[in-house]
Amino acid sequence: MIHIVCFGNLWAGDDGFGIHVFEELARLDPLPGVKIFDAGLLGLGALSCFEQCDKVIVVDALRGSGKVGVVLRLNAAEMALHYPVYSEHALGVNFLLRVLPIALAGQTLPEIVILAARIKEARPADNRLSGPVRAALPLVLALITEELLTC
Amino acid sequence: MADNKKNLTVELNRVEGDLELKLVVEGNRIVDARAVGRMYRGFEQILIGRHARDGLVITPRVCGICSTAHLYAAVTAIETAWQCPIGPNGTRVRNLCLMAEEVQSDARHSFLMFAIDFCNRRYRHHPLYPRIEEAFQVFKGRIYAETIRHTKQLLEIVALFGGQWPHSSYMIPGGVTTVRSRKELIRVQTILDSYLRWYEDSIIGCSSERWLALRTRDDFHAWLDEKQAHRDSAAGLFLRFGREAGLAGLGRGNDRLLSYGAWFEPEEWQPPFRKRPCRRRAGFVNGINGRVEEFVEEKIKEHIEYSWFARQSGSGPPAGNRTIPEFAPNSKRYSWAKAPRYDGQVVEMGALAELVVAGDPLMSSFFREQGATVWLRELARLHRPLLTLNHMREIVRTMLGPDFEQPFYLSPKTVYSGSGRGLIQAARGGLGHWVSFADNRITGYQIISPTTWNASPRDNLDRPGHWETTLINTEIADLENPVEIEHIIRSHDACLVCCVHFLDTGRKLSFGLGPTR
Repeated sequence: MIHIVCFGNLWAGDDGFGIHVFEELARLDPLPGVKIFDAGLLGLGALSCFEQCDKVIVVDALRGSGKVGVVLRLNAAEMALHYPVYSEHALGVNFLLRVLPIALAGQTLPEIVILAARIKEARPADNRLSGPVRAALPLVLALITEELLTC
Repeated sequence: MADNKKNLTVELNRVEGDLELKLVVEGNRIVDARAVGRMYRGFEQILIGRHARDGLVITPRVCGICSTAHLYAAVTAIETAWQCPIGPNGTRVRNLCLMAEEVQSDARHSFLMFAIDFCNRRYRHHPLYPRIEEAFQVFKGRIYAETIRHTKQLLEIVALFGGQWPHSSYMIPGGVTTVRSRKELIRVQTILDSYLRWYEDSIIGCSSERWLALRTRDDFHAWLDEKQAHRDSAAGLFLRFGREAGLAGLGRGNDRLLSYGAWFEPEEWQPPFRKRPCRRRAGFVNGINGRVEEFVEEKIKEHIEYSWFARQSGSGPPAGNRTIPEFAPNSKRYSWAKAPRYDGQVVEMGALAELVVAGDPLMSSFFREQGATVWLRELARLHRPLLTLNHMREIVRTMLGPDFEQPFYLSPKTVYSGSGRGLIQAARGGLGHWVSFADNRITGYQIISPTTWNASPRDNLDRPGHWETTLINTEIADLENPVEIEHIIRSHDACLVCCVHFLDTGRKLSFGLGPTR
């Protein structure tokens, strides 16, 4: 079983990138062995999305220096190495990945892949993506397909 | 500025959002404080023009922590506008889910947000420090890990009724969308029993009956002395260490406490909704004589003199106000939070306020002794889960009996124009939604969250908000490591995402999730 877990705030501009990906995926016919989650602003609330599966593809936006709209593929260790452990909200995706072994102690952890679009900032009260970030949607969808095919 | 005065800007996270404190420090004493809500939320704008019921889907997404509370407030606002009856079992299910959210929130606050600060280097020479680290250290502490595992299981209750937590939308005008079988209610009972067993074994080191027999501060001290298991429990260790760290003399506000009342009684909470029949009563402690006064909704007003909102947003009762952002960084205004006031007073919201207003004997006994301090706020969040779990188990027993046949939903008659309000107690205190609509389209929506009350900036009379009041006159032992500020602010279990975009004055200190070493 593969879980695709999409994070983000749909109402904060580019921060909602993951949810826009979710909405694209939700338009497709369901695939056997694949579940898709709108994880929104879940921090620890997303723990159950990482259970009873072999692989998790996390989709999110990442703030960092560099060109906006670039898509990154990371594993959990690379995420911890290159990005601050804690998001501005202190219990974000990075924190979640770090506590997974604690929360799921005694269970086999799934393989985790993170696909993220680099953004500059979140814009309040706006559910649209900026041009460069919107342009990253097809690439992320293609990368998800590739991840599914290699399982 | 005088030679021994300096500006200090403190960024705090682990407060569910973004908070900056601008402080003026003279010597080692804080002489002025401004709480800056840096994040603009904008939900009010999002909702204008949308279908009257869209708040049920959108407002749970204000926050990923108290999403159930926002849904409950949103649906209550519509029901008071429509004046529609509510299925009593619908209210029971709503209450169960809100309680589940509260109980896990209290544990996560205590052991994932607050207790970490006990591992600060300031305390490393204290005899209890090794035990504190063993229990509460981030990622490694035993209680830290147990809290993550057990609180996760409790949220299955919300998922059972709502399909997911957070961001579920199963509360609709008239009741809830799901009717569960007795088998599923027994599953809820099993989850509650499991959580209670953990809480008794690890957190309090005794039975819940033993703990709930504590009615005075003397009872509490006797309980600590009674057995090693009590002293060594997570709560025993937490509270002993907290007292020795001086938390019982820290962060006292003006002792004015407000609660909207928690847990509507299912059969009584019906149209015309003029009274508030709550298991934990609503009320206001006026800070002068400690008496609990009746809660009057009309006494709630919002001020914006020091907030980044245009004048035409309005100052006054929330129902008549709007939210028009106007960022003005070079003015006297300094926060995206408005300044709510009750009867013209600065008040505190939270677990402590809720329990003192409700007349809880243990909390009231301590409140008379020390007022609303950091230590007492933390005791409230260790104590409250046991009261709430008891009530949850009572609800499930009731629903498994003859009351199972009571309706979960009563089909309402849609009202196309009107206004309503939903005031409920979220985990962090009173949460209010005010909605107005015409031809089934929202014309106005205001939200006042509990952290807005606590984190408010100054008001139209230049009076500091509650947090600002608790910080002023606080002595900081080490300005490079002002752990006192962290204790004070985090004791309010702040949620800035519900409450509320940036500053540079003087020196800036940043505090992350881990211990500062």
